[in-house]
Order: sequence, then structure tokens, then C-alpha cells
Amino acid sequence: MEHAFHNPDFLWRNPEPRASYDVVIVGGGLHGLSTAYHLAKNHGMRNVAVVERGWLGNGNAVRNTTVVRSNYLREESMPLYEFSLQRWALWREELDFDILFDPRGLLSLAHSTAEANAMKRVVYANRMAGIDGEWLEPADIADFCPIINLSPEIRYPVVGAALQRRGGIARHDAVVFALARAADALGVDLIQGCEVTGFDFDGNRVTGVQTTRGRIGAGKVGLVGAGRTPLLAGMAGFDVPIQSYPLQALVSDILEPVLHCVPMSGMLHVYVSQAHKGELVMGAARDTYHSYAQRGSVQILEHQLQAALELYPIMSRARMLRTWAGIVDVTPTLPRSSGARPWTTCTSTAAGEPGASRRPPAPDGSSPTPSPTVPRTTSTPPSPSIASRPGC
Amino acid sequence: MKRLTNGGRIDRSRPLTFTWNGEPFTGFAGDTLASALLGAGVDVLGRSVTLDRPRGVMSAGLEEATGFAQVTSGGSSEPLVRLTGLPLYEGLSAEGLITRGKLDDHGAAARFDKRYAHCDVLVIGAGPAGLSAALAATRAGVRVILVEADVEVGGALLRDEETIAGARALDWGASVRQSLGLATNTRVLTATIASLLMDQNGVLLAQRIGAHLAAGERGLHPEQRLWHVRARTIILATGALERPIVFPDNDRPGLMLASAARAYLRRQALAPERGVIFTTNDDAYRTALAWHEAGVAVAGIVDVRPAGGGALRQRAIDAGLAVHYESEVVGTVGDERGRLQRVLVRTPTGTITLETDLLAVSGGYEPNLNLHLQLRGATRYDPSIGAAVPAATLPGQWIAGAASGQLTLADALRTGVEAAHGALAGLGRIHTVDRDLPFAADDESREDPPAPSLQVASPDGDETRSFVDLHRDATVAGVQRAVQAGVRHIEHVKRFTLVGTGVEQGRTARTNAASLTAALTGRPAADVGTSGSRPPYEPLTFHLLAGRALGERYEPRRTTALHQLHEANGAIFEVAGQWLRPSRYARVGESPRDTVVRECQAARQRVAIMDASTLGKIDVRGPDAPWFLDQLYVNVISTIPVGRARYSVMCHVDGTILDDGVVMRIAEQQFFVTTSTGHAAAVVDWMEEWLQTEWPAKRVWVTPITEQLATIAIIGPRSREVIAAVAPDVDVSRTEFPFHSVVRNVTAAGIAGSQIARVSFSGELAFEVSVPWHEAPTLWDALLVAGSPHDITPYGLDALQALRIEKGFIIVGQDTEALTTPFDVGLGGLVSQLKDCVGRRSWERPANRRDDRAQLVGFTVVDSHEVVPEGAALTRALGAPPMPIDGHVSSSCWSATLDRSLGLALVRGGRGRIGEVLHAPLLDGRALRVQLVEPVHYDPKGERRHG
Repeated sequence: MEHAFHNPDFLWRNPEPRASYDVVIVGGGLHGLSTAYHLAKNHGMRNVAVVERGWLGNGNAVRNTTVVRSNYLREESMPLYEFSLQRWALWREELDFDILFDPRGLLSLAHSTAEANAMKRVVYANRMAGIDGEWLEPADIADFCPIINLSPEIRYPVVGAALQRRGGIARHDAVVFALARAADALGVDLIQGCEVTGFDFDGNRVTGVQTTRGRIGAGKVGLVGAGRTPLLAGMAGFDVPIQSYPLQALVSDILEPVLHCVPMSGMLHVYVSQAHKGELVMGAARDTYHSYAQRGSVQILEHQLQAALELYPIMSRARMLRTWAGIVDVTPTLPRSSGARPWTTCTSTAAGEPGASRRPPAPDGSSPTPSPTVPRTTSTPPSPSIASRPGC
Repeated sequence: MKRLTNGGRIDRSRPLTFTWNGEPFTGFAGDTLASALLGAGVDVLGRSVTLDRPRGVMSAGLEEATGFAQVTSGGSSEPLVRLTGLPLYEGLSAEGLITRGKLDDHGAAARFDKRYAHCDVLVIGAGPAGLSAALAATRAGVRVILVEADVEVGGALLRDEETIAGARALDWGASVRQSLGLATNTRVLTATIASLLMDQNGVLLAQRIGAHLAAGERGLHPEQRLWHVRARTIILATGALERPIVFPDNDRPGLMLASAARAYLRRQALAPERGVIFTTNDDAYRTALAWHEAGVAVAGIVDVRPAGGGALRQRAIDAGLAVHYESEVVGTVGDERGRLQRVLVRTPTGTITLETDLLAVSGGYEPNLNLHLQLRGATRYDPSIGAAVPAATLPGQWIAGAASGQLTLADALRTGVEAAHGALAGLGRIHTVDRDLPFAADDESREDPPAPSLQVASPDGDETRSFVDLHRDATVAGVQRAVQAGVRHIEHVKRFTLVGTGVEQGRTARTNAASLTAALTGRPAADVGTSGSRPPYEPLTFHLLAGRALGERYEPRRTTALHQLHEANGAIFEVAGQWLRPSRYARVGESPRDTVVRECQAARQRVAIMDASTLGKIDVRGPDAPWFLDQLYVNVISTIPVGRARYSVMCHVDGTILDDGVVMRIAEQQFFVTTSTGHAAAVVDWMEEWLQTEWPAKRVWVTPITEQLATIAIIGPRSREVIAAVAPDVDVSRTEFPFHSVVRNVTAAGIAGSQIARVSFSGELAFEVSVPWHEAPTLWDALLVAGSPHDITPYGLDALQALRIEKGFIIVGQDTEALTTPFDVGLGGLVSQLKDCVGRRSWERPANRRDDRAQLVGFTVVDSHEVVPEGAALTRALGAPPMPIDGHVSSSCWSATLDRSLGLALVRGGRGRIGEVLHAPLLDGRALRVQLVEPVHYDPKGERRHG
């Protein structure tokens, strides 16, 4: 019998929008809710609204594959992710909500010497920053994750793996509920079914947002609509160097536990975890065309499942119960800037590359760039090429 | 339920044995596993997911929420198979696991196929609407595919006794099926579910083939087949699903949808001892009448509506059935195993008890619009049926029959033909339509309007036993809690209660959850809507989607023409993208390092030979080819004389390195471009992208020829002698054949049409000979013979790495990162100041000119012969984390030539830090010290390449 998941008795008020707020956050996903919560909690800003065109969490928040990790490469961003990962571990208590954060270990599989070296590079860099990282040889992998096919006979045999034991998963719906409830309790107005249709400016200073529920005045506006950032920015009259792509995911039926960690294969483009409820949650490579439609090409799914069966033959008869796509905002060379940009006074944006949007967000509204007046880009620099060792 | 001695569509002469939870049972051909179990008296299938309540079959079709099993056949085991869709076969073995499945290791060898098909009209659903649509389209001569989830066509006709044009509706269906089967332009696929709708009318169909057969009959049949269909038009004739009613203890084995009860009677001759109907509409009366006509006792019809004048209700009265108007079932009572024994009915005159073993429930019908909703097709709330109906169709699509919200047989037949006419008009074929299709249903009898979607409040106020979603154990109490918590949107209700997250995606639960939410929040049902539909409609087996592209078929394994020779030579291979390449040629008793040292020494001291066939090779020709290559490469290509070559780099638009390689000019308008192995395809793509999108008028032709020409590299001080021996007609003297020369159409090893070039990736005197792919073994053998006086030695990638690292030659992707410019790796000198090129503009960005960028340097390991692992981070301040990261080791090797451990690194501001000593912490806690040096460790003046 499955353990019933228990939600709290109260989540949020459903207030009518006020005439104005000190801060209006556009986008009620994980980043938007986290920003509002931390503004209220850490900065005493209680006159804050989150405006959401659909329902809270209806974008990438409910489309990500729930992986939480901090094993990123760049010195500049590692502390941000590590800070975030540590906060995840504290959230259950702080938010008084069982978000089912489960640091069960994130295993990055390498299929060639070149890929192994690229992954080891991340491990080396992580350890320099005090972030846990290990290298497993195939025999160790067999112990850690028995269902992986370690046969040298498969098309791309596994030659090793990087392991971040503190990486894992959390329950995405619960995180939406938890952050929303906490923000609401601190006085943040969560206004759903409220689509922003325009921005009001006095000169180049934003003064409010036009919405489907009327005008809402704003001292400051934060754009936190990852997946729609170019559209929002365009509406506000400025360009962002971002293109949006579908990134597909799928879940299986509910199954007896077979997988107790989160193995990922970058070369074969598949990663998978098994949720507490029992479904396999699987992510793939992103689609290669620009789109705001939250669906992708079925060829990507087919290739992803070929990869999955290569690595996990036990999944042969698992079935794809649902599939969907999130929309990821990607800078032309994948994001690498984190400095302030003089886009428009008092607007900010949080947009991420595939990994960033896939993950539940960095709960970093409080640090290191706490004010929404500072543009913030949640970003991961590109990994070194993990293509084959090219040779001469 | 009991099996009647007569009737039904089962074949009583073909008994089939099967096992359920290890116990043997018998059913008949024509049974599903669900009906066979019901017929065998197995009505408790398992326990519910969180509340541990007994559950049985609640439907006869795709809407089943509780009847699931783990089915084992042929050694593999399939989880969560829907019993209502599984035809019984001899030897079927199933285990009642209704809420979660099990995986095992035995399924990987099974076969799953794929097919790709196009058609003019794809009709999804072969009920009356789909059959009439398919027949009309077939008669018009267009290519038709008709898809039916069931094992036979007919849909609702299989359960209803009606007439069409004077014939039994079922006979009409059979005659249509026969017509379609005879038509060469039409394909009928049964046991096939249209599961996933893509843009531009792409559809995935899952066809069960071997999975429906006894083990002995499977033969070479695939278990399932995945159809990728691209249809010019689609007609959705997916019918309607009956909705349950929510009331206390509505989850017992013995409760069933009224349409299902009728289907089991008509198809499998199954009936209760005493049935009761609970309905909001007239259709359920058909079930009561069917039972009555079959001699089954009907204990009562509980109708929430007042009496009316509809024909069906009148027939029930005429038959003497007990009808309780304005009444509701307010509870059920079960036996010790939880099976239904009686129902409690609140009537206007008080609560009564009806003894029954089957309660057939109907809360009305709603269109089955999953596919329409997958692409966010528009819907509107239709209060007359209490559910969403299509508000518009998607481009190239029509919706017919009950799926459109028009529920009668007459509607189905008419809208089916109309949809076909619409599709044919869309195809420009309307003039061929036969307008005389005799699709008139005879029974036009009036039905009374249904009551809206219904939840019966619990008399004792306990709503924890009134189930909204039987699969997920979601109850009215759960929805109430959600609303009290502040939840308003139906998607949040779903996530709070888990309604609709089970195997069947809440097909029978969604509308009830929405109307309950509407009632609890005081909003019209139209404002609440229902939760969205994510594809697929029915779960798709992973292996089906993967198909046969597994193992060796997962991706091509590319080997060179010399692969077998390498194997015979003791080569140890490594994965290089899709290629397999020798890392080294091990000799017995040699350590890996010894092998590499031996191979390197041969290259530096005598002569060594390598299969370089995986190198990317591109023929670029045309009048504009010189101009074109000038745009893509950072240096000037157009001035290369014919017969000469130049090393160069190409960049992305942002000025970062895409690839490097040697460009050889074969003729005035023809170039032989080489790329690194890993970038061969990307460079061709890159060239085509520019030609096709930016310069379509330029006359340039790009032809990848990597697999047309095999290339063998011969390197080392004695290489000239070896080349001279195999190509006696070519003057390879130092003066006549200088560095970066190329001759084509010469004879080497007797192979006419060979190409010989002088290029070097090792710093030594070196040649590359290219011959037609299949000639490579001849050339290789000839070179070995010619080189034997010099102990010519094959070498692999490990030695190649060491040789090029000693020379400071980069490998793009290993010694560069995504942001590396030519200037960062010391290739700024290649950049022509005389012309523009792709990427040039970006070099002007201040960020690309900073002197603290990661720059290529060499390093040597201080006081140790240990090789630093590639990837290791470098820091100036060794200590406890966090340590500053100054760079990383990109290439590293033991240099036998220089007798030290050395390598290349990308270090912040590295060009200005030559001489500095940094630390490389290792995973085992130790650290090595490295000193930064110039990247070229060996022969810095480059004299050796001249021999």
C-alpha cells in the first residue's frame, strides 16, 4: 500500500489585487514564489504581489524532473548552486512542509575516456569549492546502482561515473505549495489567473503592470517568467539575448522501487529518477527548434527511451504514462553572464538554461543578489565538450 | 456475475485456460481477461492504493480505473495491463496488482516494431460514427486508415440493440467492416490505440499483435507495433465515456458503469443475479431492459430525475420494472470480502434497501476528447450533458459522433458522414463523394434530458468513503480539504488530491472532480473547466517507443577499412564518438605506458604509422569556393597555391573555436578540407548552413568524403624513405615536396588515384596518404613492408596524444572550451588582418579581449614522474576548500621523449604566468605541483618536421 501524501490544512488566501504594491513579481513559478518569499522573509518587504497568468506553478515548476544538485563546473556559479542545495535540505523545517527532498545521489555516467575526463574535471572543481564529488569505477557503480547495464557489449559501455551523493530529488508540486504558503503567510498576495498584458512606464522607470485583472501599480517589477522571458521583455520594450526551446520529460506508470539514485547519461541523453510514489521520471535532450508550445518532437522521446533501455534493460516494459515539455530559456552560447545589465530600470529577470529550468530553482532570492533591482540570471556555464576525443 | 447459457459473442466451443494469482480458470474465446474473471466469479481483483479497500472491474473499456494486472507471458512480465482491453488467450497468466507494477529483467529480448504510414483520412474510432466516416471516405477513393482500440469494430454497436436501415446495427457494422476490408485504399487496424497526437496531424498508434496471442502462436510477430502516421486529415470518432456517480461506498466490487454491464451481457453473456440501475439519464435504462430481456432480475431502477415521457423509460415501465424517481443511492453494503450485497436508496418516501450483486451506474456521457486536448483544442462546457464538448476543431481535423457531444446513434451516423465530407472537401475530393450513404438509424425515439453531474452527499456527513478517483483513492473529503486550504484551480485540486494521476489519468474522475470543485467554491462548472490532458492517451511501453534501435542498432558502430588488421595487430580500441579507434597496439607483457613509450619512440626516432581514416574529409569546390572558405576560416585560404596546404581554425559567430584542420588546394576551384574526427559532421552542417541561409547564390558544393577516402599517416624521420618506396613516381624530396604540399592522382602501393600530403600533427616529418576506402589494407600492408627496415610501428591515439601534447598542438574540444577564441590558445597569429570572417566581429567584445581569460599554457610536473589526471583543477593556494581555481589540466601525458610528465592547461591569464608553480589536488588527497611553461615542449623551432 502506498503512503498517502499529506497536504496541510491551509495553503493560501485568494486575494483580489490591490491598486499597487512595492514589488510586483511577474510569474508564479518556483523562482517567482521563492523571490517573493525571500523578499518578505529576509528583507521585510511584505507589500509584494506575485501575478501569475495561470495557476501557481503551471509552467516549468510542474514540468521539471525534480532533480536538485550542485555539481556544476564554474567557480563563479558553484557557490550559488551549493548555497541553493544546502537550503533545500533546510526547507522542510523552515517551510514546515514535507517537500520530500531526498539526497539519494546523482550519478553522471561516462561512456568514453574523453567524457570521463570532462566529468572528472567537474569533480575536481567541485572539491576545490568544498562541494562533494566522487569518481566511481564500473565495479563501484554496480554497487551503487545495480540496474545499470555495465556490460562492455552495449553500444556505449559505461566507463565510470561521477557521483554527488548530496544531489537528489524533491517533490515539485509540494515545493510550489510550500513556497506559496510561506509567502502567503508573510503577507505576499498571490494573484492567479492574472496575465500581464503590458507595462506602464514613467520615462524609463516602470510604474506598474497592465493585467487581465486590471492595472496594478508597482514600485518595482521582477520578471520571473522563465520560458517566456523574451515575450515579457519584449512587452516591456527591451530585448534579451535568449531563445526558448522545448525540453521534454516523461513519467512512467507507478512501479515497485527499482532505482534508488539519479543516474544521468549526457552522451546518451537520458536521465531518470524514481519518484517516491513509484513512477520513473525521465528527462532528455532539448528539442532543437525554438518554441513556446509545451510539447516537443516524439523522435526525442524515442531516442531517449532507446538510451534508457540500453542502460536499464529492466525498464523494457515500463510504460510512458505522460509526457510534456517545459520551455527553457537559453542564451546563444548557453548562459555565462551573471553581472548586472542595464536593461531597464527596476526590472529583473530570472531565466535559465536547460539544467537550470529543469531543476527546482535556486532558493536564492535572499543571496547573493537579493534585490530584484539587480538583474539576475540563473545560469550554468557550458560543460566542456564531452564529445569524443576527436583525435588528429 | 454469472455466465448465461446462451447469447453473447463468445465462442463456447473454444474454452481457454488461464491463471489468476496462480489459480487456474477457464474462459472462452471472445472474453477479455476482465470478463473471464467476472464469469469465473472472481470479482475482487486487489486492494486500493492508500486505503486498502477491495476493488473490482468497474468498466468494460478504456475508462477502467481499477482492473489492472501484472501479465506474464513468454518469460517477460508486463505491468498494469488493463484487464478490460486484454483479449483472453490460452495460457495467459496474470497477477492482480492493480495500483503498481513490477519490472523484471526478462523483457529486453522481446521484439517491438515500427511502421511509418501516410494517409489522406485517418479515422480514429470504429464505432458507428467512425465506420460511417471511413466508409464514406473509402468510397471516395482516398487512402484511409481506420483505427480501433477494441479487437473488433463496432464501438457502442457491440453493446446496443439498434437497427440501421432495417438491419441489426451490429450486422450493419459487420457489413461495413467487410466493405472496408475489401477496399484496397483502406486499412483497418484493430487492437490499436491512437495515443499521441502531434502537430501537423502526426499520430502515434500502438498496435498490440503478439501481446494478444498465446505463446505458441506468437511466432515472429512483434509484441506490439508502433505506427507513425502522418494524415492529411483526421476524423476523431473516439466516442463518449460514461461517468460514474459519486456517493458513499461507491467503490465496491459489484459496482459498474451501466454501459459496461450492458457490454458484458451482449458480448460475453455475463449478467448479475439481481441487478440495480442508478442513473441520471435514459441510456442506463437500456441496460435494465437488456437484463430484463435476457431473463435477469432487475431489482430496481434508481433515477435521480422526476418521471418523464421518454420512450426508454416508458418501455421499462411497460416491462414492469420498478423505477424509483427522484431517488438516490446513498450507500452500499458489502459482504465479508467487500463485495456488493445491497444498496441503500433514498426515495421521496423514505430510504429503502435493494438486494443486489451488481449496481450499474450512469452519471451521463461525456465526449472522449483526449487527443483533441493534447494539442489544446478548444472546448466549451455543455450544460445539457454536464461536460466539455469541442468548441472548435484543430486544423485538418473533424470530430464526429459522440465525441462531438451528440450522443445518439442517428447523430453518430450523420456526423460521421459529414466529417468525411468535410475531410474530402479539404482534400479537394468532394466531387467523388457518394451522397447516398444509407445511414439512417431507425430508432429516433425521444430521450428525456439527463440530470447534471451528480454527487450524492453522505447521509452521515462522512465523505471519506465517497470516491471521486477509484484508482488514486481520492475522495470527496479530499477535494473538500483542498478547497478549504485555498485551492481553487482544478489543476491544484488534482495535485492536492492526486485525482487523475493514476494509470487511466482520471478518465472517469475528472469531470466529477471539476463539478465538485465548482459546487464547493460556488462557481459555475463552466468556469472551473477540467484538468489538461497530457499525452499519451494510453500508456506506451518504453520498449515500443524504443523499437529495435537497441544494442548494435542503437547507433552505427563505425570502423575503418583497417579495423580487422588492427584487431589482428593487438589493438586496444576506444570509443571516439561513433568510431572505434585503436588506443595502442599492445604487445604481450607490455604495460600500457610501455606501449605508448615504444610507439612514441618509433615516431620520434624512426617511423610510425597510424590509421587516420576517421579524420573528417570534405571536398569543397566551385567558383566561389575560395571566397567561401575565406569567410569561414580565420586565415586566408584563397591565396593557397594549388598543391599546397594551410592549417587553420574556424569560429562560431561569437568568435569561439568551432574546429581546426588543414585545408589543401587541389585545383583552382577545389579544396580538400580536413576536420577533427569529432567535428566532421558539424563542419559540413556549418558549411551548408551558411551556404543555404546566407549565401544561396554562391556557387559552392560541399561534399563529405570521410568514408570515401581512407587515410594513413606515416610519421617520423624515416617516413620520407617509406613514402618514396611505395610511391616511386612521386618526388618527395625536401625541395620538391615541402611541408604542406599535396599531390593527387598519384600511384601509391600500386593504387592509382592516391593522394599524398605532407602534414604533421606530431612535429615530425610526416605524410598522409589517402586512397579509396577499400584499398586501405593494400596500402597499409605495403607501408609495413616498405617500413620494415626501419621497424615501422603502428601507433594509436595514446601515442598520438603524447606526440601532439609535446608539440603543444591542441585538440579542439579538449584543449578548448565553449568560450575559447583562437587568441586564447595562441593561434592569434593565424588570424588574417586583411579580411573578415565568421566570428571576427565578436573578438572586438571587451570580454573577449580581457587578459585574465583562460589561456593555453604548457606545464611540467615538478619533482615527480606522475602524470596529472586530465581535468584536474589548478590552484595557486593549496589549502582547505574553498580554494581559488586558476585553471585546469586539459591534456596530460608521460613524455618519453623529454623524460618527464607534462601537459597543456587552460589557466586564467596563463600567458602572463609562465614560470609560476601551481598545485593540482588529486582525488586521493595528495597534490602535485606543476610549473607553467610555454605550450611547445619539444622542438620549439619546428625543425623536425622537415626531416
